[in-house]
Amino acid sequence: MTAAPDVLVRFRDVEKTYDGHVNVVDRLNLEIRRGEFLTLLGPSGSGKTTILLMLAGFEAVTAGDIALNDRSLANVPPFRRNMGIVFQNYALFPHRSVFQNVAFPLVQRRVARTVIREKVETALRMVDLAGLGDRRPHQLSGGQQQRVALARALVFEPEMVLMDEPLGALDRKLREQMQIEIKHLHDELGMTVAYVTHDQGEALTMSDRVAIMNDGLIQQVGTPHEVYEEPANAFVAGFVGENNGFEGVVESTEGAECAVRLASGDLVRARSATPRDRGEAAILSLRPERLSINPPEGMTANRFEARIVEVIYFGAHDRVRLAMAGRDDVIARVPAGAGGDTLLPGAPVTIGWSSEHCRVLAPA
Amino acid sequence: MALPVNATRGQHVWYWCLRLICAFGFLFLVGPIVVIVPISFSSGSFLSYPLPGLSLRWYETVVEPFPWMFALENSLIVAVATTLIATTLGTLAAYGLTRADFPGKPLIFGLLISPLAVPVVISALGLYFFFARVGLVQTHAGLVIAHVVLAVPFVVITVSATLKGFDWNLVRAAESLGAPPLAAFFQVTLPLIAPGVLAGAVFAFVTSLDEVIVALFVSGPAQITLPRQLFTGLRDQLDPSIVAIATILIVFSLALLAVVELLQWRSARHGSRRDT
Amino acid sequence: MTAPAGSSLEVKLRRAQRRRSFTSFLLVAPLLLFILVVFAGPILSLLYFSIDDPKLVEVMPRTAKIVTAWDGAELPGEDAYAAVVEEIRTGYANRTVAAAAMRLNYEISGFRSMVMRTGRKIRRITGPPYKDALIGLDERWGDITYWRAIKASAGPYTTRYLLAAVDLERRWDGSVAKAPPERTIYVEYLQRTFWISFWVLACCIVIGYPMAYLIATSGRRTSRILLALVLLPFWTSLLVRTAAWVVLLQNKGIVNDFLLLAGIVDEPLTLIFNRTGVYIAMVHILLPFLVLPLYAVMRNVPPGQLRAAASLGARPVAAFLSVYLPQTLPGLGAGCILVFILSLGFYITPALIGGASDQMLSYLIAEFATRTGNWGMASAIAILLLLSVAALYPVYRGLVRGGTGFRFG
Ligand SMILES: Nc1ncnc2c1ncn2[C@@H]1O[C@H](COP(=O)(O)OP(=O)(O)OP(=O)(O)O)[C@@H](O)[C@H]1O
Ligand SMILES: [Mg+2]
Repeated sequence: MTAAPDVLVRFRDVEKTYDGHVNVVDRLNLEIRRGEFLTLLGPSGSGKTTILLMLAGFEAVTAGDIALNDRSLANVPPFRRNMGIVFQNYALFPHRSVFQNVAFPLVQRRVARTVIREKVETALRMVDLAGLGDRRPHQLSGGQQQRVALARALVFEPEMVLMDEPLGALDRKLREQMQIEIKHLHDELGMTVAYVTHDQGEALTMSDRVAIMNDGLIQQVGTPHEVYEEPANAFVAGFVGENNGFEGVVESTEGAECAVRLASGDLVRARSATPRDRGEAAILSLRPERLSINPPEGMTANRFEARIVEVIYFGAHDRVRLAMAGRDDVIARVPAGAGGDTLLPGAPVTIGWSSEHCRVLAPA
Repeated sequence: MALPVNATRGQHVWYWCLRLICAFGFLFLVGPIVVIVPISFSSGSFLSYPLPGLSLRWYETVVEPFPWMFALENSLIVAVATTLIATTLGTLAAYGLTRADFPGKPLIFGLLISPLAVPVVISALGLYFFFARVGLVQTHAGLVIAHVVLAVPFVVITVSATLKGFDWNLVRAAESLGAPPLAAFFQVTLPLIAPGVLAGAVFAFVTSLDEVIVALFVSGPAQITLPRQLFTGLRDQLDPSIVAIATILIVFSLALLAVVELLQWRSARHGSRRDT
Repeated sequence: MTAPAGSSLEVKLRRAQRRRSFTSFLLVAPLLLFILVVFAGPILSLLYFSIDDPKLVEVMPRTAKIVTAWDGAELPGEDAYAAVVEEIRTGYANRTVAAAAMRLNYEISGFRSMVMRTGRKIRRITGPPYKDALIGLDERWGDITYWRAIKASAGPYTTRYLLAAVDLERRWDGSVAKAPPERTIYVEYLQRTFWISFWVLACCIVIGYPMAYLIATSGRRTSRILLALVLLPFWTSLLVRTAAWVVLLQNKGIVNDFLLLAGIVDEPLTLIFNRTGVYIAMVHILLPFLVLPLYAVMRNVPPGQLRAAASLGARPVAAFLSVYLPQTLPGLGAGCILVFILSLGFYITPALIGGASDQMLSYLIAEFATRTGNWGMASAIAILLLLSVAALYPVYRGLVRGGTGFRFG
């Protein structure tokens, strides 16, 4: 079997168990393309770190195979895999200076000393740490340590870079800044990145493609736009971005559209993302920003009477909690000030959404 | 230990009783060690105060080649060899024991530190019988082997304790950056657990340097060590040269105490920075 | 998460784990092998040496065989005498008989010289009947107790050392009974060993508990200094400390000088080469072993607790007994057992500071092993001591597991 030329890593039917009873990674089939930024996104314990560890060679695969450039990695020890890793706690060597940390992979490869100096300095400049080479890791701030780890993983121009929640220990502002920097580095250097996070915002802003994991199984692989706008199942819809989920039964289908009867008796017109037959249970998924309050007459296929329960100020937008169809946790997001002063708790409103933006999914 | 402001009479009595006991306790612990030091500078040959005058004559006896310097030399040879062997074997074992699980691990750990739990006389007896059969009685090698047995548990314990707080991700990081396991051990693991290894080495050194029972069993006249010579001296002819040797050893243990405190302080500092 | 497809996965998993385990085990192996060969093996061999009894059977195999078959009720027959004569003759000629004679002497003192004398005169016996000839050389050969002693020594294995270690002996008819008074010294040594250890421990608790409390509750600086005062003797050579006490406790030593000067006594007290000196020096050496684990536990007792108890109306003594003491018990227990176990094995200090009646089991072991060369007896007493310690060791483990965090050393 030959791979398409742009596939760098191929997981084929990979399984992993630590205890011999439970597969923490199951039936994993995944391709990482050369030069892409692929993110593994999933809740805690879903097996993301395990996948990275198998790729890096620190955990053996229990079944299946991982191939790099079409060659199986089964008998390649970690130190020959040529993959830069950024650990969540950075794993900087505390007994070595920043310079020595970054130089470490080059020293291991017996690179000439002058070349090392040059490369390390370039790498440190790249991550904005020029001049801090003599410091010890503990003399740096969290963000600076993070950059050292990054420089160390990049300096030897590895085949690919693995990052396991590299920004998990940083505060929000720093995290956002680093997200941009990492993304820039990726664009500049064109390296392949496998990135692990459980922060969906991070995954959406940084990735070329996102693989969403749950309980050891890949739920969906796609571009950020795809997984957000076209979630493959209820788990993905719920995990990526905010989501209003309605349970119901398919009443009729016509082409790409179908009608779903909710438990409250309301009938909703929606787009079938996964083919469902008449009479089958289904989940409706609707993003809060797709739900309009008091939409102009005729604009939306679905219109319902609702009551405002609560309005929460979020700066750039307001979050409006509504009661409708027998529940009181339906969320709408409206641009700040868009509703004027009509959005008051208790006020009756009409809400609506187009069938285009409401997706019918199989129940999780 | 502070007395509350509104203490009762009974509390006062208790408080002062306890203080008195403590004062006595600390005096009792340190007093004897301090009090004998000046006697080593006595110009007379009695081991009591008041000193007839000051002199260094007993130190001059001590630096004579025989018996003290001979014994010191033996002790140092044996202690250095013991330290090297015990530290190497003990560190390897502790590393292996923390690195992965394998059947019988607790049992093996228990076995490796068991020489600590067995009275030294019994160890000495077993070693003596064993050496008698394999021809190691009255040899330097035999004494070193015996001392390694007694010293190695300290290395295993201190190095294991240090490794408990060790961040194994550092080893993974090193390997992912291209260091083969052996290189990762020498360049990353060993430097980081060095305080524990050093502390273990100090323990091993002191154990050997202070050991007398096994020496009494298995060593001959050619292997007389410092403690053994002290033992003989204390039993046979008691003079201030013994006190002079004792003083030198006290100064030595003060220095070691300082070293170990420093090491523990340093490893504590490293440990607290581990998870930043 | 789903279960793995088949059991072949488990097999693979095991194999991967085993590989890592195996390389780790290889690192442990050298030390493990070393300890097994040089330490565990020899300690176990003590069991063997305590029942091994080869001396007589090596030198006088025929005699041994005949007396083993003999019932011991009446003097043995001519064949036994013939065997003894012949084997003493050859043994005396090639100088091996002394070892057997030595062994016989353990049974009846005087037997050694009797055998050696017989050996010297054995030339005079030229032919049968050997029985009369031998009794003619030394009439004790006609005494059945000597023959029973030979039977008891006939080996190759014996329980006499183990029995003797607890003041018992096996009679010629196989029954076990109390040993004669001149040999019932071992139980006394055992009792004395425990007795001394007990009093040393008691003194350590009385002095050590308040000391640990003071260190644990003092300010940072003070507690560091006080701790150093405990650690200094802890690090000082045991022989140096013993030497210090020898110097201090002499009749003209510093302690007596002080007592005389202060007018507490009129004439010097005898403090050395008796029990008092042994107690003083042993408490001095073992006190840190009690204070350090206690301190480790007390440091972790929140200081506000006694105050909290007082604020709830507890009187100081009640507060101490119900709040503080229970929390320090693991440390106290660990320290106590540690001190007790260590003191059971003391040898050097009693040997240098004690008198003849202050020696402990270790002393006996050393005497038998190095001075009289009686390996059997040395091993048997070592086993007795080892069992005493082993009985206490699980208690120590339990207490330390109970969460003191203190490790020996
Ligand atoms: N060394 C191990 N031994 C046994 N089980 C393990 C081991 N490492 C991980 N697991 C289990 O495997 C599962 C997946 O763990 P993994 O670390 O891959 O999750 P994760 O997706 O990285 O989670 P997080 O976001 O919390 O880091 C978890 O249930 C975890 O308990
Ligand atoms: Mg993880």
